[in-house]
Amino acid sequence: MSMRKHLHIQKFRFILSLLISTAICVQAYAGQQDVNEPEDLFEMSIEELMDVEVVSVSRRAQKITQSSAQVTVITAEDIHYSGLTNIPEVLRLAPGVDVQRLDRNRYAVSIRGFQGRLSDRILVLINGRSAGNQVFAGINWESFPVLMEDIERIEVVRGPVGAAWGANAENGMINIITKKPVDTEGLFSSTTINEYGDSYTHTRLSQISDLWSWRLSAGYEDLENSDDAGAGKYTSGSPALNGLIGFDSYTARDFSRNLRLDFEARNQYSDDTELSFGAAHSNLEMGDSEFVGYYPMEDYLTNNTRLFSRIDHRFDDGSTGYIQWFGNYFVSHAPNIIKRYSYLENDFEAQYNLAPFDGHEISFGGNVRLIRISTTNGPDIQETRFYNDPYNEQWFGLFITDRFSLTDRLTIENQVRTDWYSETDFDWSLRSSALYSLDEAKDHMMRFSFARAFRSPAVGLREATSSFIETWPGSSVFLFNTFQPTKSLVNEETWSLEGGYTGLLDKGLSVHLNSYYQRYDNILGVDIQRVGPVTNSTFVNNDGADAYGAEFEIALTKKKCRTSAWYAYNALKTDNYNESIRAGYPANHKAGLNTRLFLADEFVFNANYIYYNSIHHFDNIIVDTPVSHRLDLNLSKEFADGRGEIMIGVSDVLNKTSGPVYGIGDLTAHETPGRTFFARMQMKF
Amino acid sequence: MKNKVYILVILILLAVFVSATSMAADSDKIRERQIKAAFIYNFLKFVDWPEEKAADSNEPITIGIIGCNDFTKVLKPLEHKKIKNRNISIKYFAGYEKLKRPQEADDRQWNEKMEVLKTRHVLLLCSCDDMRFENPREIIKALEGSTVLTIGETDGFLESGGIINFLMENKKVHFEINVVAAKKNKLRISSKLLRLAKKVVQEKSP
Repeated sequence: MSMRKHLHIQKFRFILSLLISTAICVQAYAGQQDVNEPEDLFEMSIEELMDVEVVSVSRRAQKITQSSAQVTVITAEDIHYSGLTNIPEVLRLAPGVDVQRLDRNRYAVSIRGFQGRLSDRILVLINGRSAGNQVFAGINWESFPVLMEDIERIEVVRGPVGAAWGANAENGMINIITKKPVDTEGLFSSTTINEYGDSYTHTRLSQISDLWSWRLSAGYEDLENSDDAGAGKYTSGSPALNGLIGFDSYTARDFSRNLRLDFEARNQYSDDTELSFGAAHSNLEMGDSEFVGYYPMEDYLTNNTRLFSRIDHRFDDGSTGYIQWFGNYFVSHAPNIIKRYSYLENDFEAQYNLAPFDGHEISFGGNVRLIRISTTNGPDIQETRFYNDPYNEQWFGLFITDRFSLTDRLTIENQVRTDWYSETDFDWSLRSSALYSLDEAKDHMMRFSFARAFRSPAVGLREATSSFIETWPGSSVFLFNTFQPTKSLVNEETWSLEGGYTGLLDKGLSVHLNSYYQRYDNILGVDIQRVGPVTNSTFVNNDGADAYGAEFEIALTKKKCRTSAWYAYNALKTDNYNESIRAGYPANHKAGLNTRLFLADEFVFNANYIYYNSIHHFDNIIVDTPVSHRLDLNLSKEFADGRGEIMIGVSDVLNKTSGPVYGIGDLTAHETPGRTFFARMQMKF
Repeated sequence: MKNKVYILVILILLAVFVSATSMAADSDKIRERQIKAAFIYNFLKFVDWPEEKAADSNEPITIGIIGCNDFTKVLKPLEHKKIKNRNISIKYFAGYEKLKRPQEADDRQWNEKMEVLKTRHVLLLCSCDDMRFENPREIIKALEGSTVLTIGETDGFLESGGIINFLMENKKVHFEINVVAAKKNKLRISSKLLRLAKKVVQEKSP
C-alpha cells in the first residue's frame, strides 16, 4: 500500500470516529429530557422552576441572535477545551474566516478572503479598542498582550460593519473580549508544554473588595524554531533564483519568546457608575522570515503597550453611556527590513444609548484619534524607508444607530457613520437591516441587510519606499526593483447585500444560514511595470472585485455533549485577471466539525476538525496553498474538587508537518510543525 | 525531549486513574445557581416592600450578594429586566470574612457596613467555603426590622431569622419561608408564594 493511500485511510478513520461520536450525540438527544439555557430560566414560573433538575447542560451559548450581521461567538469554553495557545488558531473555529499559518508566529487572517501578513480588510479590536497596526494596517496577532484563558469570548462579525464598529471594517470585525475581574476571582495558573519543548504559561491573580475588583495576568510563551521541531524544510517558488537569493543558507529560525502582562481594575463608584482602567504590555522577540523576496536573517523585536480608562454610567431615565480614552504604543525593530518604526495612538470616544420613543433604541457617539508615527531608516539600501516622518494623522468619527420594531415581528435597524481621516478626507459607512420573526416566540428569524464600508490607505502604502536587487528578463517571478508610494491613494470601497436565517428547531438544536454578495471598488493594490531589467511597483487603486458566498451551520447542545458542523463557500473574482489585491483569495470551500463530550468522572473529550480546500492565488502569491485537513483531539479531567484540571491532546493529528504557505510577495516558505502532542495542567485557588 | 513528554503524559494519566479524589461537578454548581437566580427573579414579583422603600418608582430594586461572587454573574442578566416597572441592580458586597463582627467594643465600622446593607431590597447570603454558621446569623440579626428580604441557602437559615431559604431535594431546587421574620422586616409575601414553599414558618397561634 502506498504511503499516500495509508495516510488517506488514517485520515478516513479519524473522521469516521468523529462522525460516530456525533451520531452518539444525536442518539443521546433522542432520549434526552429538555434542557434550558440560562436565559430561558428567567422566563419560567416558580412552578416550572421547581421541576428543573440541576444537571450540567449547555456549554455554548445557543441564543437566537437578533444581530443585524452574521456573527459567530467563540466562547471561553471553546477556547478552554481547544487546548490552543494562540488566537489565530482559535479563529479557525468560526465559519468564513481564512486562517493561514505562515510560520510559528505569523498568520494571515481575514474574513471572506483578502488574507495576508499585512492584510487590512478587517477591523480587529481588543475589548472594543483598536488593535490594528497603524503603519501597515495589518494585524500583529503575535504581539497582542492577551492571555488565552483571560478571554471571555471572541466575536467574529462578517461583512461590512464599519457603521457600527468604526472605519476600515470592510470585510468584518473581530472583537476579543476579556473576562471582567469579578469573573476571575482567585489565583489561577496554567502551563502547557509540548513534545518540542514549547511552553505557554499563564498566572493570574484577581481580587474583589467592597467596591474594587482587579485582575493581573502574566504569561510567557517560548516556541522553538520549526527547524528544531523537525519541520523547517524550506521550499522555493522560484528555483531559478535560488543562487541569487542565497536560498541554501535559509533555515527556519521562527522561534518566539513572548512576555505578556495584562492588568485591569474596576471600581463600582455608585450603583449607576463604574470606573475601569487597565494596562497591558507585550514584549516579543522572534526569529526572522522572508519579507517580499528578501531574507534579512535578523531577529525581530516588538513592544506593544496598551492603556485605557473608561467611565460607564446609567442615568435615572434608564439611558446609559460611556466615555473612554485609550492609548496604544507599538515599537518594532526589524533590522534590514525596517530598522525601527513606532506609532502612538490616542483615542477619545463617547457613546450614549437611549430609548426616547416607544420601541426605538438609539445609540450615538463619536471618537477622535490622534496618531503619531515615527520611523528610523537604517543603512541597508534594501530596507523599507520613510522620508517624511514623523507623520501626524487624525481620525474623527460620528455615528448613530436606531433599532425599532415596526410590527410585533419586524424590526428595523439602521446604522450610519461618517469618518474624517486627515489623509483622505470624509467617507461614510452604513448598515441597514430588517429582521423578521417567522413565529411569535422569535425562535425563527430572517435577516436582510445592505451595508457599505471603506478601507483607508495606511501610511505604509502612501509613504514607504523600497528597493531590491533586480531580476533578469524573461523570469516569471519578479522582485520589486523599486517600490513607490502613492500619496494620492483614495479609500477602497465596498458594499454588500446579505440575507440569513437563524432558527431554534428544537431544544438545543439551532441552525444558521447566511448568504452574501459583496462588491469592491478602488481596490488598494499594486501596479507592476516592467521595463527591461527594471521592475517598478507602485501602490495604486486598482479596479474592483466581486465576492459572494454562503454559510450553513448546525449546532446541537445537550447535557452530555455538544456538537456543531458548518460549511462556508467564499468566492472572490477580480475585475481583471491576476489583479493585485495585496492579499490572498479565500479558500472557496471551508468546513468545520466540533464535538465535545462530557463523560463520566469529569472527563471531557474535545475534537475539532477544520477543512480548507486549495487556494489559488494568481499573481498575488507564487505558489498555491494546498488542501488542508486539520484535526485536534484532547481529553481533560478535573481533580481536587474542580480546582485542578489536566489535559492531554494532539493538535493537527493528521499531518506530520504543515504547509508550506507562501505569504504575499514571498519567494520561499517553510513547513511548520504539524502533529504535536501536548499536556496542560491548570490550578485555581 | 519527545520521549520525556510521552513519559510525563503517561505518568499524569496514571496519577489521575489511581486517584481516589472525589470529583465535584463545577458545572452542576453553576447550574444550581442559575436556577436559584431565576427563583430570586420570581420572588421579586411576589414580595411587597413598605412604602418607604417602594415609593420612588425610578429607583431600581437592588439585590446585594454576600459570600460568593459566582452569584453575581448568574444574576447579571436581571439588570436588563424590570420588575413592577423598576430596573434591577445587582451588587456584590464582600466575603463573610470582611463582614465578620469585630471582637472590639467599638464596632462602628461594622455598623456602618450594616447600614449600607439595609439600603438593599434583597440580600442574598450565599453558602461558600469561608462561611461560618454564625456569620449570617450576625448579619441577619443586624438587619432585623430593616425592610430587607434576606435569602440564604444553608440549613438553619430560617431559624437564624432569615426570610427565604433554598433547599435541594431530589436534585431540584425548593424553598422555605419564614413569615415571622418577613413581618419583622415589614415585608408582605404573596399567598401564592407561600403555597409553593416547602415549609412555612408562621406565628404560633395563642
